[in-house]
Amino acid sequence: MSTNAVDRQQGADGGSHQVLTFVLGNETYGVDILRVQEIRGWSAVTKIPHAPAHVLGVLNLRGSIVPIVDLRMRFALERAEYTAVTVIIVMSVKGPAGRRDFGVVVDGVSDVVDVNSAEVKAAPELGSRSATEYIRGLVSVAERMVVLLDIDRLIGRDLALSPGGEGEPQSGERTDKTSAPGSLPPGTAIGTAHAA
Amino acid sequence: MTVDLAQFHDAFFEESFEALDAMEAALLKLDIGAPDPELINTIFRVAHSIKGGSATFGFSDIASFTHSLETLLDELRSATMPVTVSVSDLLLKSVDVLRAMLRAVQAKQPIDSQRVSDLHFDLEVAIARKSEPAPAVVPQATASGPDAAPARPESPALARWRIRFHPYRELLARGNDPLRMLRELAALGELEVRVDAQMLPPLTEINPQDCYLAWSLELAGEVAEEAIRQVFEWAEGDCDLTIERLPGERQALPGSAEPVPATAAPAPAASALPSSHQPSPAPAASRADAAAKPEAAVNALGDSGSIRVSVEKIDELMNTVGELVITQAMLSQLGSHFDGPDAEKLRAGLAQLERNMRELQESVMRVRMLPISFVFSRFPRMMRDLTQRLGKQIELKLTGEQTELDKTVLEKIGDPLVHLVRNCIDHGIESPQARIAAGKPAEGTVHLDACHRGGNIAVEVSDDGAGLDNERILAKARARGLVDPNDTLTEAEIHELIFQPGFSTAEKTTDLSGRGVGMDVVRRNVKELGGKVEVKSEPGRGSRFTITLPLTLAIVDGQSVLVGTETYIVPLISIVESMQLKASGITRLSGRSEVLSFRGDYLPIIRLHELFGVEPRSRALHEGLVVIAEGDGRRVGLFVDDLLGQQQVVIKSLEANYGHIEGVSGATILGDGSVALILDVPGLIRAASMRAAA
Amino acid sequence: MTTRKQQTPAKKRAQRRPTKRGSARGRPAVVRGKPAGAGPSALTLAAECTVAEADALQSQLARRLQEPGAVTVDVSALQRIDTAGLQLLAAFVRDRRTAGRAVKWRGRAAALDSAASLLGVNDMLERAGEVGR
Repeated sequence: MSTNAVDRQQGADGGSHQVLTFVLGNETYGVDILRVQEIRGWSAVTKIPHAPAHVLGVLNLRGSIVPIVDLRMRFALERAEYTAVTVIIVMSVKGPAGRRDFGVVVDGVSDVVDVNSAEVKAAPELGSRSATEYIRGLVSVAERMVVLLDIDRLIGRDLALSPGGEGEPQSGERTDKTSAPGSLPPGTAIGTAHAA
Repeated sequence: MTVDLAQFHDAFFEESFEALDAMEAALLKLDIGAPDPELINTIFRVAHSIKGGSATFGFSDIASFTHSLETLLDELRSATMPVTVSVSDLLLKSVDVLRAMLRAVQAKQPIDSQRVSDLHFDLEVAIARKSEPAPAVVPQATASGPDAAPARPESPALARWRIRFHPYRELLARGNDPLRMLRELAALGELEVRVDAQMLPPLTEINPQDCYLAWSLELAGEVAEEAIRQVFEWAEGDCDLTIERLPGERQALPGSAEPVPATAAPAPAASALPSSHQPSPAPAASRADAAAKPEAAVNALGDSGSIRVSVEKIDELMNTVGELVITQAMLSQLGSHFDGPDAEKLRAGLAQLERNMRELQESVMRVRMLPISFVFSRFPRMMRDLTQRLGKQIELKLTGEQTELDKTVLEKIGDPLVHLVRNCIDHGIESPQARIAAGKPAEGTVHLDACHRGGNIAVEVSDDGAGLDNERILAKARARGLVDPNDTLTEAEIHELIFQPGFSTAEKTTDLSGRGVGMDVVRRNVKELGGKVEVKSEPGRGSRFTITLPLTLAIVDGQSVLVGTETYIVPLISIVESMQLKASGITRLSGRSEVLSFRGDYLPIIRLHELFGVEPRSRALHEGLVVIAEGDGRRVGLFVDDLLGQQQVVIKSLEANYGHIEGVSGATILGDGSVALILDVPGLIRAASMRAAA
Repeated sequence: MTTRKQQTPAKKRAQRRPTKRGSARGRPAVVRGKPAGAGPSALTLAAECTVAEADALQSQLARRLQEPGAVTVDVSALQRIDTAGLQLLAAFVRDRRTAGRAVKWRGRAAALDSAASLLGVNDMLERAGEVGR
């Protein structure tokens, strides 16, 4: 795993590669298996002050502190209860400052499928507010549509957004999806405007 | 394929820098006129070993410079040249130049050749000058010394030496090759070699980088013991070596009267050996005595009872131990829930485990600890240079030099300390005239002291100078708009102003203070280490800066506090005290901000639940507790629900996978495996005041 | 001819040893092109037989340790050898001798001559009568 895995995703456009699929609401999503560190059950997280609402907090993952992102909230889906069967997929993203690990909360993990790059279709343009910027493409697996995620863009952006993070400019389009209580208006200097 | 010498470079640089520090320290101790031969020996050995090392690695500029330096030192050692102030200055400058050269080579950057060649020239001039008769200290002429070579008053008589050379296994892995040493020996005279291969295991059991061979050698020629030792110098600590002189052979044999090649033995011992080391063979006892002397000097530089370990390896060990501590805490917690016949045994075992873990953690921690003398040692030199330039008379007092602290902290405390000491010399201590006029002794004192205080180290820099000039500070702060003209400030608040960015009270910029480094940088650096700087000052009596730092960056002593369901760790270093509030002790200022009365001051209350957005157990101040905490010289009351225990926690980075959070310095893993955030009090205070302003 | 067994102890050791040697390990094999005339049973030493190549040299020698009949060591390509290299050669010759197996030398290398006499291992190498083509 590690950096090797991170590097592989970029070059994975030719041939076939393995994708871990998981379910979120009614959709099936997929991420490059090489990016997946481990899958673990839900346990209570420690909240991080001033974090975006979908960053639930941090967990101890064998001695390192790993942020946990709720993908439902990230995608502005209805929030689900966290139960003993809630699953966290721990992945690596490539950020400007190198590899970072984080966990995503999903409804459930399906399976690992082979995806032929030639069969991946571009996501249709759905207007300016679409989520397509972090979708690498769509692929049909056993009659199901799997949305392949670009986690570097999806999560790397969140990490950049974190206070003192790597400072990728944040765009306003995200806020409508993440307007849970306590989330921040775009461009706000975090730490000054947080409402209790 | 070539031998990859690069892997040994680091060790060479490290050893050389340490050796230069030792050389500098020895130089500063050197009495002009009556130098201690031991010290000169120490200095000589440093130059010699750097020469040897740099030649081995092909750093020819350094080797050639040290060669001249060594020649000069040899003159001092043989007392053919007196130690004067100018010589001492020259040597100190050489230390600087050597350091710079080593640094340049290490960084693979060009050497400042102008500076080197200037000083090289000065060295050569000094060496040449000595051939003019030196007054008074002409050495006792030795009967056997050839007149043509005054630099080497003693030409070693023809001698036979028996050398037992037993390398340790790791000699080869350290970049030493017995072959090279034997070759050098062979160049000194006639060499007879007997190898001892008894320890050589079967081929397949050999570890190819270990040395299994030992040698018994006989060397005949005009060789002094010193010259032989020099051959083995680079392997010192990696081998057992005995050198003994065999009786007889005082007369030069007709066939072997060749002079010793100059390159092989630059400086046979002179003053280092007692005068008994003259043509007639001395008794073995006094010889052993003589041989022990230089060894003692070397031991002062590098104790052979120690090994070098890379910091990464220790860090790895620390991490693993940190993990163990967490696992152990988890087990202890689990164990406390158990019932049954063996529960007591289990708990006893767990308690034992906990004790052992604590000891293990402390031992590993101690590996990283170094005495602060590594930092203090640079000050005598600085003091000397600066006082000369400023025309001040200052005595430097160093105490508590053996106080140990973590290497990473040690490395980062240097610059802030240098700045504080400079500040004392430059601004604190007055000119001798001013001091006399003020009824003080002409010579001022700057005192550096270090001591352990609880889990922290306190380093104090104090002087008996003029103290901080409150009015001037205030005037300057007002002029810069740092303070509102109508504000009245307490003395402590005025003193705090000097830590404001861009603040400097120097009326004219000297080249000391004109480096663009201010006290704000000192404070920032110290704060980055989780420490604090305070100042106390009395007009006319002097000032005292105190840096308080954690002993290590890897763990912190913390107070666990509870806010709602979240646990936070407040570093003990920031805590003044904790208290329960009475409703009457709270005042509301201008409707919103709450303050509490504490020892005659009004401190703002920071409600952690508000700042961090957690649901508290209670919002009523008198139902919770207040932790009085201090940061950046300001005190605040942190409102929490409850206090839990005090404990040492292992600091984990939040930034590795997430990012920096204002008011949080890191995280730790608690006994139950959950994560708790460690609070950064100065950051909290900043965050809260920004929030209040918004 | 070659048995894996012989190699394992050395390998294990190498693995147990951490860092410092990283650079020395895993280098390409020492054997270079065989000089003309070297028979199938000749063991050709590389140009460099120093501590940096010692792991490879050790396995090279170990492979021939049990070989029945004389093993000829060809030193004509050798340019540099140090204590680590000589120590391995000495052990090789000694181990074969104690098992009653001969080692012959082929070619000349000034580096070997001077190093062996300086380190006093000429006798151990039994080169006296063997030198020459």
